[in-house]
Amino acid sequence: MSELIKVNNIPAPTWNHLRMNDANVSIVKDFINKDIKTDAEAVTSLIGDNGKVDIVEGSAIAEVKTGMGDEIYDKVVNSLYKDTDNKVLHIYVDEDKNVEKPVMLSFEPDGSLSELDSLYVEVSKGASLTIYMKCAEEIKANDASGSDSATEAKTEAKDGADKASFIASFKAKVAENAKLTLVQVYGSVPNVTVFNDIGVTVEDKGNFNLVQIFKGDTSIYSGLRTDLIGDKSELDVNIGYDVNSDHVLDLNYISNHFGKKTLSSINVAGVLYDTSKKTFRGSIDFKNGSSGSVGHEVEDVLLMDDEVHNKTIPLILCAEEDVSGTHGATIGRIDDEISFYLETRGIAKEKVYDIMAKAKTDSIIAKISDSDVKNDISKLLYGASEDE
Amino acid sequence: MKEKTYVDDIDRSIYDFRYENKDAYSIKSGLTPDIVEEISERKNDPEWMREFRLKALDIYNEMGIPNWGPPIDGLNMDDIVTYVKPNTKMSATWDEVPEDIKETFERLGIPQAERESLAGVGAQFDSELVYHNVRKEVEDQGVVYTDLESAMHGPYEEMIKEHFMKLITPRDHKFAALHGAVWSGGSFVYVPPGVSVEIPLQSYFRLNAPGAGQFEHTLIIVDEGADLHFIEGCSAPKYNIANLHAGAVELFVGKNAKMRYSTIENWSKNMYNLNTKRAIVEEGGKIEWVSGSFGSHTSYLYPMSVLQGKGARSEFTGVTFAGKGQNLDTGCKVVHNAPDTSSYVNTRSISKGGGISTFRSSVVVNKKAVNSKSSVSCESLMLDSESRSDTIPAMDIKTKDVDIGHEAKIGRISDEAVFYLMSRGLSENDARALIVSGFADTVSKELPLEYAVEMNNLIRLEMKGSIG
Repeated sequence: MSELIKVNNIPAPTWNHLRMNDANVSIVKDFINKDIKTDAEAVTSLIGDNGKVDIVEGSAIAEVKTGMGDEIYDKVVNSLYKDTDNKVLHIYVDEDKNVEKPVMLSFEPDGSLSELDSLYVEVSKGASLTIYMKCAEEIKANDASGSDSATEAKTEAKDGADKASFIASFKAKVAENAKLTLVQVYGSVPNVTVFNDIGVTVEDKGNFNLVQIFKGDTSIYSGLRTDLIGDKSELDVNIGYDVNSDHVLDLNYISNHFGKKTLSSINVAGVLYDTSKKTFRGSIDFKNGSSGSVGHEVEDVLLMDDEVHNKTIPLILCAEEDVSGTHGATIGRIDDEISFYLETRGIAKEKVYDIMAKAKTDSIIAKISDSDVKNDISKLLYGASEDE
Repeated sequence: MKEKTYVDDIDRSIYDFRYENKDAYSIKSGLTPDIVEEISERKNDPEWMREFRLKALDIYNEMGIPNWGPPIDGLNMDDIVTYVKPNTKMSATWDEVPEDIKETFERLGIPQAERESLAGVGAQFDSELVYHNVRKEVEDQGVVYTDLESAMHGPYEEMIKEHFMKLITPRDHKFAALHGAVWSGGSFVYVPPGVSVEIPLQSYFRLNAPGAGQFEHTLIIVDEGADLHFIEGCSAPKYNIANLHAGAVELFVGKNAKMRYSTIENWSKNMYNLNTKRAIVEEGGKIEWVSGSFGSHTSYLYPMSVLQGKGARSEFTGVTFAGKGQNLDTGCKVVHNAPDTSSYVNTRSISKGGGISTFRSSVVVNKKAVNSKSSVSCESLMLDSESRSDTIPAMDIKTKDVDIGHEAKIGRISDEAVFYLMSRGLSENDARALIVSGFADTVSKELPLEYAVEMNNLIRLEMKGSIG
């Protein structure tokens, strides 16, 4: 059984014929009736006496709005909360506590049935927490993106009505002077369509830092809505992707500036191969009263094959005089000068593209400060850690 | 409590002069097949045009209003008079134009501009052209510049039939369909192959009647290797009821031809400006749009360039100034349909006094358009916190061998810049006006001198009293 839903609506729509205002997608509703799949005990041991980990009802977090919009909750998620045993894993960090080690959460949807994993995080005043979520099969060293065997494997995963859905719902509240870092990696998840949905509110001088890598044989719909409600609150987003085969990557990232002197940065870099399709919607919304705020978004897209399809729509919405907003996008082939430079250093033209493609993901991985997380991602994506 | 700033708007009455045109014929308000039939009869349409109008009306009735732009709830078609004919015929000399209408255009500076810097002028008053003339030396080059209705009954009928509403079809959107049903007035220009018209042609549209609509159609064909600069101006006095402008501009730019289309739009602030402009450019051709939007209550205006031939190019340079009570949704569209095409978009928008300015664009690069390039740059200036400024640029790229760049900025006038100018003896008001004029300089420098002066005057007028 599946349901057609609209997700990833932009806050200010444009011409309908461009088909960028939202994404219409079929979501398979044969969900696993289950408890929290995440190992709550393991998370509890990581949090230790810095806070607590418990299970809450989905209705408890309805107030936090997310980037994918309400329809996925109204038509799918809320009924799962209500009618099944699906609950929400709740992580709470006490005031002024710094959870030193990242909380690692691993998901491996098997593709036979759809599943929902919900997480709600509260980081109290002055506290800090890093969460590392990965959703992928481990891949072998010689299957790094671009190799023939990887490409063959990739073609097996096709979009279709029978693909299971994996919904990852992440909601968080970041209190005054608190810091939350979320690192998400989506690698190879065959026969599953991923819905990755995030909603975060940030209070005075709070900081939400998001790093995402989308790299694998999967169609992914991902949304983020961040409400910078406190003065001097900050959002920093870095996204790296490569999309291959006939997969879809559909992104909707909204930064709402409510507080004064708020700061947001959305940096997206990626590569499209084969017949893949990617849509990036990025919105910086300066609300009235957000004086002194600054917002910046940039996307850099490398197009590798003739049949790729790229859509980009970076919005700046502004109801405040004393703000500064910028966005930029570069889309297409590698700059001729860079290509020429590398070729004069003895690198073959085809190799130049591989290097530049890898560099885009690596530049995002470099934003991660925790070396264990970095190494794990490198191992996941390339079959070897950074140190190797 | 959030702090707010506010900049008062000013009464701009210089364009608001009007007179009661008692002798004019007005069709009854609303939109019905009978009204469309009557317009067609009064225009002495050929049969194909009568049928076209009625088909367009059917399409209008089928289509919904846009769900993405500024609200147009204040526009009720039942209240709009779609055809108002002044009691005069079109003349080729100003002496034959009735005194009060002539006086209107005198005050707008049209006859003077014609004498000094134009190759030809068309002047439309409400639904009909009242004056049309072209210099003899231009006519001798084979250039045709006349009203569309006359052309439709002469040797160019087939050419018009072949091109009329083929680029903008009634199916494009509801107000294109409306235009197809009730269009009246406008110009037809044909520039033969290889002919370069050295000085611009201009059409000026004045809407005088309260509650009326103006639906002029401009059809320009610039043949292979030819070159033309066409200027369009428009204004209206302000009334307390809604007026509507739903014109259409279709430009056909031939192989290796070049066309520049400049507009200074200064409609009154009760006007719904739902205008459609489109150009198709063949191999090696170039279209340049220069657009200044100052007036209107609500605008939907996005000149579109279809780059159909190899190496075709487009440039769009625009400035939008939204003041109190205005919601101006402007921008442009580009479609790259052929290899080696290039487009360049450069816009500035300014919001003050509670005005809303939206820059909206789309760049579509289709599969065939390999080695194409596009660059879009938009900058917005907010002059107070009661106003609003949005940028909504879309890029849809369907092939790999392209270079697409986009950049946008939004911000305020820098205090340091104002302070610097004030320390050089300027008042704060003048300093801010100078900075805004400089901000809009990308557009004014693209206009002929007289029009650049007019544009800067409009900016100065808008900036008066802006220190609140």
